[in-house]
Amino acid sequence: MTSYDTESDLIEGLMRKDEQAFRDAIRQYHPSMISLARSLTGHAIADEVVQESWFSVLKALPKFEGRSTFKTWVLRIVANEAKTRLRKENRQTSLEAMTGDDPEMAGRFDQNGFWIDQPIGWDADSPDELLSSGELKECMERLLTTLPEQQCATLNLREQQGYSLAEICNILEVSESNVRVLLHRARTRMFKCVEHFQDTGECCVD
Amino acid sequence: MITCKQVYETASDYMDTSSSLTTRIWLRLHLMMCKHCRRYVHQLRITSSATAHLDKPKIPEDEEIDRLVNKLTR
Repeated sequence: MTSYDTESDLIEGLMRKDEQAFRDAIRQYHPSMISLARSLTGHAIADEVVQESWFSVLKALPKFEGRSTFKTWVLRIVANEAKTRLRKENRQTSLEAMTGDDPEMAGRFDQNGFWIDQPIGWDADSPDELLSSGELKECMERLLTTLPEQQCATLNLREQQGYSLAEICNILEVSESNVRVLLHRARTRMFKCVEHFQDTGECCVD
Repeated sequence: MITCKQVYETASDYMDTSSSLTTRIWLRLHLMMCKHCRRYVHQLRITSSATAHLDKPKIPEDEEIDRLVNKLTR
């Protein structure tokens, strides 16, 4: 049973430290927070990062001005918490590491920009058909864990959580052109992974 | 005219409709004439929709919520 119908009531309940408000907030936001944290830090420490984020959220609550939705604001805190954690472990999130390497499709076009290595036909024609192979699903999930963290986080927020590019900029604190580059690269990697599996029946990730 | 390589480079923006109107029109014209790029854009789209279904965390169990609430309200 949810007793808080609006975002502002919920925020007010959290400030009063009402237990039901905590329960509602956790039900509503925790899965998204975990999902984003996993994409940035990996599964092992995501729970810890999210727990720290909850403390930060509560501490910063009086400063929430409603310029974005509460959820976007909460996810921004998760992203920051994750980045702090990565920095502590000396994992870089500099701009170069941020966009990651180009996934090398350039070699598939000739100098006039025509395909020389064309996309092959797939035996799946819809997302459901693709995922009906449990092996491919597992392979795509494994690929996610190997993507540079900002690519993975962008893909998570866009494809898995359905955020707009503007909201992603806000959450990850990157420019829109960077978000577009990150998405292009992450999607290309995913595409190549599926194509490789369609072609060979094997996963591109060990 | 835009090339196949440019279709590849702008396909992701095209999916988010974050490319300019001119680019979108050129891209659509190209797709009408090029079956390889039609296939590429279609495959990129279904890959992207499939990604949406990967690894979805569930709402925590009641016991886990209790544990978390206890920590947060302490």
